[in-house]
Amino acid sequence: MGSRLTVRVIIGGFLIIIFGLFYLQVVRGNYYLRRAKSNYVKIINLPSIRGSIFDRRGILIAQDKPIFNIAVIPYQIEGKKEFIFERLAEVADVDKEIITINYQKNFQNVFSPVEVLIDVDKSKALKIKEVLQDNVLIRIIPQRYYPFSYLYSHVLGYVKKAEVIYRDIKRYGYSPSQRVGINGIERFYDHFLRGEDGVELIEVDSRGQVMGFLGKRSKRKGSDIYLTVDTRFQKIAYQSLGNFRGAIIIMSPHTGEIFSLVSKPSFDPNSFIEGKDVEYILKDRRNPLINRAIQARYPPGSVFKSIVAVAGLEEKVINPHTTFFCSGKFTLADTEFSCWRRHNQEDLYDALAHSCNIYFYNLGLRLKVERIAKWAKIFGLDRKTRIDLPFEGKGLVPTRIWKRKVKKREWYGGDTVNLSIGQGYIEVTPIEVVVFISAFANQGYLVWPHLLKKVEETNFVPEKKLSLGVSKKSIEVVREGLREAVTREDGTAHLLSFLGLNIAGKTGTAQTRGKAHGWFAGFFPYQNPKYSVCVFLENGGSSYQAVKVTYQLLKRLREENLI
Amino acid sequence: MSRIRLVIVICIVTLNVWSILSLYSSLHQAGEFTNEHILYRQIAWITIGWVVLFSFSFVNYRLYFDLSIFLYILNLALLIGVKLLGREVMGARRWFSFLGVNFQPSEFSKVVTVLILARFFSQSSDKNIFTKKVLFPLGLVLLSSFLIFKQPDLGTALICIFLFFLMGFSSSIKKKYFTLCLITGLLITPLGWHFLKDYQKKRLLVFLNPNCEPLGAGYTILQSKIAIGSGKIIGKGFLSGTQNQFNFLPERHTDFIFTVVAEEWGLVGSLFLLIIYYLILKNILAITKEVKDDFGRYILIGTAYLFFLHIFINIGMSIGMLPIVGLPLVFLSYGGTHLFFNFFLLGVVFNISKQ
Repeated sequence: MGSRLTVRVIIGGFLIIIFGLFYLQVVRGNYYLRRAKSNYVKIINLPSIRGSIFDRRGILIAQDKPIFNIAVIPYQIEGKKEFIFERLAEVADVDKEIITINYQKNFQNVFSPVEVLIDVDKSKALKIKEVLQDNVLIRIIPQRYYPFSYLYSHVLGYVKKAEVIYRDIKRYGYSPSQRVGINGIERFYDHFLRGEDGVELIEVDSRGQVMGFLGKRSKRKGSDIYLTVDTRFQKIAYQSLGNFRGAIIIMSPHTGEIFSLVSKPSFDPNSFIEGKDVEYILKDRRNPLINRAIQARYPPGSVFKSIVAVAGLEEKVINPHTTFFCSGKFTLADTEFSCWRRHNQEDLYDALAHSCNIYFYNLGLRLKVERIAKWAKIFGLDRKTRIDLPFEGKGLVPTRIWKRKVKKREWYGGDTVNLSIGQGYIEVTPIEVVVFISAFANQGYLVWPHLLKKVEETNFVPEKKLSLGVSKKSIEVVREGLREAVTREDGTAHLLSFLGLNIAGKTGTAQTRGKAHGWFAGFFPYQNPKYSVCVFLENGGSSYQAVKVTYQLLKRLREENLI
Repeated sequence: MSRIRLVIVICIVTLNVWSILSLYSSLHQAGEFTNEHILYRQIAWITIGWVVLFSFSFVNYRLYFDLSIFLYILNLALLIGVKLLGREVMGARRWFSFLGVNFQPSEFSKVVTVLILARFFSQSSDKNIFTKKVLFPLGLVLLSSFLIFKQPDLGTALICIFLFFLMGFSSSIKKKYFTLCLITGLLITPLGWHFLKDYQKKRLLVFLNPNCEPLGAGYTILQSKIAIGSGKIIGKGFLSGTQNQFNFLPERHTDFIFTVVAEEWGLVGSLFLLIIYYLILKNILAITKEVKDDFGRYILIGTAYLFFLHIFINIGMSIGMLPIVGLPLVFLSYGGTHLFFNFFLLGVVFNISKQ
């Protein structure tokens, strides 16, 4: 074996390298030295256009619009920076301070343009260019714009520059100006919307003259997407909520397509784009950034009775004609629970129509906590609906074990009493409520609520609905009870009968430390449901307020011939 | 023998000093000293390296003959582990992060490849030489190369395969066996290309240019050539390399450290560097003449080839003769794992020279 061969290979390799070095450093040395002296590379970022977002009818609800920025190239203004900034401040009529701050914030390296004034009026931009000539450049850059501002804030979210994510890339000389979705649809479907930024590398000499073109990566536009929402629904829903805090969701009970999803208080996503009033939004005590329709959870109150009713029927604890006597009061181990009025003898239909507490106390105690929890879970209250929005919350279904683990206490009969009317520990999100109430509209299926309709021209295929495995008969009985809550003169949602829409539904008043939350969840038309609706009012006072908001909402939709 | 070791020690010390100077220079940007911690870390690693070299020079190298199989399995486990648990940097999973220190298993793989090949090539057997001494070790090398390639780290994967052939041709096994493998391999490679999907091809091309993403090879290679070429014969002098200091080149403290040397010290400095490298390699190989044991001899040859491949490929890509694959320059580039295992190999070499 030969180390001689190894030595030969090594010497051969080194000779090749020496040959290469000789060529570069001696033969071409002067050429490269000249290149080195004039080697100023300008890296120009070509921001991609982000895909637009449309509603189901093709109305534009988010788009990129061009804005005019004023930029400087640091090495070009070396030595006269202060003077140029002063002139710039003067012509643009802004504080010099702003220019200096922007310069420091956006500086990347001495050869890349630094944006010092953002979103300047076009005529002003041209005037600046005229006065300051080659010392500045105008950059036309796409900026996100939400034409309906407050209306879609929680659905769409907003975008931000990816500076945080791309911090590592910065030292490679590329602009970190690509935008990424921070919340809402902008975040969830960022991969469709984003596109790809382009980059241009231009070699210039010390006077800024272009010497050569080194390379280019073209930008690629993001895909347009269409949502299932209808701007006309969205507008009316937003207005119907008035000054209440809360949420409204209107959804197809068969497909899970969401026609409207509103959360109030809202905010203007354009503020985050322009960087205006952001502090104000963040500091607002009413938390406008929270999407109350999917992120926050609240006790469902009597809306939950419809699930307890199904549990009773399916577990064969009652039949539809089983009656309980409501004296207006109910005592369990020295604790007195009450009904909101004396109902006397009630069967299941009566109890659902009147929302009788005593009936459900009795039913709940016979079912016991485990079986109630079991059915709450079957209806999906303990998990996310997986709606296509980020940061979805999920409900809480309490059990004996949960209480021992989390609260370090035993489960009492009183807890079961509270649970059977949707009070106490149980909490749900409005989106979970609209999904479970839809199960009564579609004969026993959990649908997948979603907002995406199509990407460019490709229709989105949603997931199949999930069968609950409940007997048609139980669903039918409870469904009828929900209808009677509207049709009967003494039904809790009787107001809605005057709309002539054949509505069925359940009201709910959830007691809290502050003012009670108001709920209405229902669907219509009763025979062949097309819409499910959930109205939730945070500290709205009572379910009656929710019924009134629902009435206003559906009345307006009807007047506009939308339903 | 002790004279050989002395020459190697002097050469390594020179490289250590040069590495620190070049790092110090590369960390300057427009006159400002940035990322100082990189310099201090390198100094710490060099110190640790010397301790490693000294310690392992007392460990009998015959131990690795038996240990090599175990080390190989450990290497596979680490490579799979890093794929599953490793830290992702610029789209590649190559590092383990442990107590703030990043460990790169693919550096370990190179050392293991040298040891395992030394074992199989030196094993005595009469029958089935082709299977036992050629095909089986080739299979082992290909398996770990494949895992490294998937990281993705094309440079290291190729080095392991090159090591197999270079060590094989320098061995006493019949050359026709290796020629056969090489020709088969060369014939299969283009076929493999057709089996790749479009996105895989695109990715493969990106492997070749990890540093210059997204602008293609043009930018990095041109900047590297300008830096080296403008150094001319005597260079611009310490801390005067404008190309490096103006941040034109990415990764100049790691894979492109040679541009700093060549720009500041010119052709003279570059040749001096090559002479130092040559002295190290020559002296490592000189030991083979005194060693009677095949296993030791193969380790020496393997180590020399490993160092040589790094030097050749690294400088080759810096001067634009070879495509850009991320490989460090031996003893000069910044990087803890790479320094650690280079010092370790020298420790083994020193032990062999003492026996």
